[in-house]
Amino acid sequence: MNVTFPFGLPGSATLYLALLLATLALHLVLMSYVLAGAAWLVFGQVRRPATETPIGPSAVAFSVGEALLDWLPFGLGAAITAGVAPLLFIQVLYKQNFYSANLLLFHRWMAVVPVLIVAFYLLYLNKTPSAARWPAVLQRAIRFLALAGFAFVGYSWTENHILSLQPHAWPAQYQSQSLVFRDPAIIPRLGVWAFGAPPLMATIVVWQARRATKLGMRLDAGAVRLLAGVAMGGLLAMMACAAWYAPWLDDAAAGALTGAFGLPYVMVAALGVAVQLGCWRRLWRLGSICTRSLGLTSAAAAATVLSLCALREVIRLASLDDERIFAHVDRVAESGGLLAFLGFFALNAALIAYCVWIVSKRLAVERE
Amino acid sequence: MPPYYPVNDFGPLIKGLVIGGLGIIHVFLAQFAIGGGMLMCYFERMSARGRSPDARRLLDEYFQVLVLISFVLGALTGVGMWFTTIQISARTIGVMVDEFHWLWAVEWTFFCLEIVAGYAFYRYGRRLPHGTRMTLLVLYSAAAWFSLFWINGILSWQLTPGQWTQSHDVWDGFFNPGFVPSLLYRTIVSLTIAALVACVVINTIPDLDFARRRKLVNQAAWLLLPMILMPALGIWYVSTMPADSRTWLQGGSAAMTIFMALAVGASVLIGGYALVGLIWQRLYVSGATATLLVVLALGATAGGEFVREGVRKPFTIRSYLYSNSIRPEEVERLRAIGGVTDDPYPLRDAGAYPNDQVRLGAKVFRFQCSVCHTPDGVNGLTHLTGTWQTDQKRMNIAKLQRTKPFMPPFAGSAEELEALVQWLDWLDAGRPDAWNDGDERGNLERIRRWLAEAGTRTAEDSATTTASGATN
Repeated sequence: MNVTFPFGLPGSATLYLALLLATLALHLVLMSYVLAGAAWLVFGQVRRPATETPIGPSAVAFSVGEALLDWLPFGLGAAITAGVAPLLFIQVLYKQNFYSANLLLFHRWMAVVPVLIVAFYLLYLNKTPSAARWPAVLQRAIRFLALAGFAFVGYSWTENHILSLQPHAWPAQYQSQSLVFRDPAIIPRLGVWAFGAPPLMATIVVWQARRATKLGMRLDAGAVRLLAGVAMGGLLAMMACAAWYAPWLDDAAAGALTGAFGLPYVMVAALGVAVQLGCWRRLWRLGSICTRSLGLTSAAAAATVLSLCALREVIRLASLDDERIFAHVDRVAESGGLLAFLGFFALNAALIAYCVWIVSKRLAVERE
Repeated sequence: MPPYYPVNDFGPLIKGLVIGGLGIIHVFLAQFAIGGGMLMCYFERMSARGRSPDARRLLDEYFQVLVLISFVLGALTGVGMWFTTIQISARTIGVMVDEFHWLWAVEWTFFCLEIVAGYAFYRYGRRLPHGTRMTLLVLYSAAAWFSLFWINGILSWQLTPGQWTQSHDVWDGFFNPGFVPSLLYRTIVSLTIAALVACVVINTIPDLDFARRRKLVNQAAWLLLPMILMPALGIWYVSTMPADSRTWLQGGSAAMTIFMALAVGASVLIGGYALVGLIWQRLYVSGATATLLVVLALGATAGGEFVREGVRKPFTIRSYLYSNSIRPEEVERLRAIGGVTDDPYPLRDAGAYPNDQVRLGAKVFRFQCSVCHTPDGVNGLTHLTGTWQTDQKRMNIAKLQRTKPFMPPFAGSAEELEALVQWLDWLDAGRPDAWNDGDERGNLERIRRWLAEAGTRTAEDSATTTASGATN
């Protein structure tokens, strides 16, 4: 391709790809919050909330652990709900690849559902008042199990994705009866997404902290520095994994990344990481929230996430028979309902905003 | 040509049981969530009007159950349904996605509203005034009901695609003949499940004396009243089914008839108890009895879902896609070139067969039969055909859609059919190490003649075509 993704692609494919990218990016942000948040609860310190509403004027200091403990179940519910849309558009665009990989991994793949259910309940169990009275080892074990569940799901998605890109490997994988697909690209690719999670989680938590401070809570410099350190460490590890992953790409994918089709996104992603590093370094030095730096790192994080999602599709389209895919998508695009989707999307987005507004308004009245 | 997907072996189980099991749980939980929203709106209103002093307590307890069960299990079994459907029939879900993806995307926007409104109520409801609580509950329950609205159109389309088969217009398919009765029926089922669960929850609220519990139970029971409409809606829904599907329910298929009888019987028991005991005599229902009624409702759901899946046979999408993921238009070509000629997936146990012909037969079984049959487990072919003589097997399979009207036509070459027969005979013989080829010229010629006599359409389609030809 001599033009930048998605220019030059058929209009129908561009529409579905744009929706896939937008919804996948939303899912990724929420998923990152849950994954990195669960890791924080395992490896970080968690002070138990004194009441059912740990973030409020009555509390003295904002605790990252408490906030995560409180919000992770909702975060997971939102991540799963947000994940339905990209799952739908993947099926529209790449059904034969996606379905074949699902089928080849069979029970292993299907295990992501019960594992997520268990992990979900563990998050709820984790925040019950009775769990706070249990031995610390048991509490940490529960959190570890939840994290292990999310890690398993993440690994399975990566494995599924890489298998879906290799149709030539499907017959041998089928005959082997193995429910595990081994490929040297799985771990580095998983690393890109997994280490990309802490900066996103840190960004969201700092926004939560900012809101908490406006409600009268105190934010310790140590908490800000720890979040900034985790974010910077995640970004550096993510770049290392990207460099590790690059040699495993096939020639077509590597060519797409270094050519006009994908290079702009590589540059935006790199710039986004650099800006985030700069902002987090500033927050680390300040030891407090600087709204300008927080806004800038949020924008840079959004650009990075969208670029990485785009690169994911650049690699996929370079590796697969895109003519066959586009021909199929052209046929599928003839089915009706787009206007209904756009109308209900706008309506329900407005209603969601209305829900948030009426609750915020009432809570503000209550505080006054 | 059909797309070829890897086919997994579920051992002695048929794939329908796997999707049926998960589907029943998911449908039950989803309907609980839908009815739960309406029930909470009802109790919130009762509370605001001062007609139920304990309604707020019930609401707060009930919503905890709803969040823990519906938000977690309901949401994830929904994703699980997608994955399971891919495992069972990738092509079916592929067609559904191709045709209805925008409507599925619409449903997703309602999921998002449902989770935000629901979680806002769950988290802040106790601190909000009545008006705000009611707004959140109405939005939550409307979003939940609309998710039923959208998925109901897609699911009912599979059995009664209506005008869609000619127009391929998404709205013709969505607003199909079964849409309205199915939607109304499921709405009443949702209310029923929600009311029964409420009776369980009421019995678990601490510090509530018998009289107050009883009052709440009697108030919740009013949501069971719409059950009186279920017989009429059920008859309406059945009347929209294709004629041959209706005959399965009327004794044409013992399994279908029995499962429908179980669903009807369980519904009658619940309805009778609700109308006579809870509404008319205003009796109290204990936690144990309420739990039993919930289990009965699950049984009714199981029977109903099994019937809904079963009566589509021999199609997964009526007149468009057979149960084995082959389209009617493809049968003729597959008979000419062979059904598994282009199947890239080798047999996993190729060494277990005595010769290439039996291996081919195993591959034909995998491609055409394994979605509904096992070799010798549930719905095992050796059980179903074990008493047939070899030539009888040839003819019955060649004329499969006439041998059994809920079977699709055989979609492969004469050589493949003979291979399937040899594979069956080899299984019947106890899988001996050596086996002679059965490719005699006379056998293949007879098979070709029988295939031609049977045609490439189902018996029902052929009858329809003949009738319409006679009319013209």
